[in-house]
Amino acid sequence: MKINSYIKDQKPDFYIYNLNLMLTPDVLNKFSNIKHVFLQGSPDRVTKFACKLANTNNTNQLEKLFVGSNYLGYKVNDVLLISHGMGNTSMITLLHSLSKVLYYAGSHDVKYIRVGTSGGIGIEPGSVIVTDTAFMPNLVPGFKISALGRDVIYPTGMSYELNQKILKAQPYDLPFKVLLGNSIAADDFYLGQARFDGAITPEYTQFDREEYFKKLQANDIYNFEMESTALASFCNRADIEATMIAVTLLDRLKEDQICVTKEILDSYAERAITVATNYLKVA
Amino acid sequence: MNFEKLNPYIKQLKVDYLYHLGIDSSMDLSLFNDLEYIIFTRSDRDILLFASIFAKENNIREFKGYPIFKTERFHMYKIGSVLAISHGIGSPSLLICLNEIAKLVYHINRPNVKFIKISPAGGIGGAKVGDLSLVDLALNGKLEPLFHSIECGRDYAYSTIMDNSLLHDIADFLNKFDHNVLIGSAIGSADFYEEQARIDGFLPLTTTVEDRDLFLQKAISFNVKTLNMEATAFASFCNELMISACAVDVIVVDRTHTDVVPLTEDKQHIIMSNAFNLISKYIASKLSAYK
Repeated sequence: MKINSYIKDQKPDFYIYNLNLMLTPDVLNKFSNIKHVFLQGSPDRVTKFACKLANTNNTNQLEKLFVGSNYLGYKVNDVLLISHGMGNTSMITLLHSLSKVLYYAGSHDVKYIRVGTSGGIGIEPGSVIVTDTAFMPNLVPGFKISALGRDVIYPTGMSYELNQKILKAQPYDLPFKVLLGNSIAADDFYLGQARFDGAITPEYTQFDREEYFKKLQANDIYNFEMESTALASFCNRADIEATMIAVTLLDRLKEDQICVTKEILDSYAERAITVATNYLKVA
Repeated sequence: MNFEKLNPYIKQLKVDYLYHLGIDSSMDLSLFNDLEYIIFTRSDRDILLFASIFAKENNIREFKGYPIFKTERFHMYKIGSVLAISHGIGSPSLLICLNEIAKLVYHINRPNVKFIKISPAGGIGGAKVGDLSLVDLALNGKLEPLFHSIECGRDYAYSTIMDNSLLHDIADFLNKFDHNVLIGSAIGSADFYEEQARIDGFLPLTTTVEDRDLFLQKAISFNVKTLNMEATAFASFCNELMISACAVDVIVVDRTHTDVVPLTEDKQHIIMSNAFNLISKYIASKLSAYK
């Protein structure tokens, strides 16, 4: 874990706005033994996963962290679970703040794993993708930061070793596929993911979309989501091992709208959790 | 909103699933038949605060403080003829919210609904903590009035130049309270740290303190008063659909002096409450004028 030298020696006794967290010795002690951080899209999903890891159905038994912020977290032994919201901006804002806490607390060997949902591209719905490389929507394997008006693109390969450990931890008889592939992080759910059902009229045609999806498949891109490039580029720059485990909720080659039942959606989301938990058992 | 600008594909859908709102167009949407305003803010905490303040100001006794429909991603409250919704952090999250809310507005046939976004922001150019700044122009990090988007692999640039009629109406009203309401440009960034010229982020610095100060000075010369993470997306979306809209930035940090937001939760509550109070009064004055 590598921190900005400008703040490295700062005394950790300040307020972290985006987490609504005042750093004190007690707070730092709480985060001092973290080995894994699981990042998920919504507070509901984080709560569900935390209960599973803590072996309880009673959410009141778990202490809610970062209350009053846009993010919700729980700590279960040496695992921190936290919601990241939707989109690269929400993700990267979290990563800066969270990494500061973990750095000052001494948790320098932590691994970050996003566990989430995605739109598959020519993949059977309900399959789980482990991301090798995250792509920008223009098919650049990178993430653009525009600091002070200057664009810089940072590399977005996920951790090879972590991915191998995750894949090897999966039993042979899982009732769904677990695939290593590339992912694309869009900055919008509708136009940014070639949908036709957004509020704004697309400039692209059905033909353009088909050509685009062919290019995605030619790059071994298996799924669309909205946070992988921010996660990969941040963790590469900060020297943190990271990856993404995401279940596909639909096949975007066939449809745009997610209209399966809540039960099916929940069962799919559970598959990504299963893959993550299988890894955690042997980590 | 000009429904003729709305994606015609929506109009021919048998059922439109507003997936993140948990609403679909086949449901009974008569709850929204009286909608006049939609208020957007970032966090679940703040939108409940707005909804509570508005309910109290307007004596809406049936408001109980429970969000409606799906609560996984956004929290939504209906208080009288106002819908209040939290949109999360950043343009990607805001755009999901705006797309589905705009489609909802179409399905309930209320084209004159007005959008007001009230968000925390960093202030420069004389904007002090606690001030409100109404955004008359949203700029990207290169100080252009554009929002960039990649669609089907190609780059598009949307104009952020909006009709500011609602802004001026709000400004006229707020000035009657003798409140120091600023009007200025806002920079919409895609991150809280590097893209807002902060030097206290976690990642290694790629710019110097001098670079930052030069950038902020240049922004001030463009009449920028605030920096936030959604300005350009909000402006370009509303412009595209000709929605009557206004963004109100609430300054929580004076960026000419510090990168660090100096307010703990209690002080943020006071500042946001003040902003929500003023906008509630504005809306109340308009609603009573309609009657």
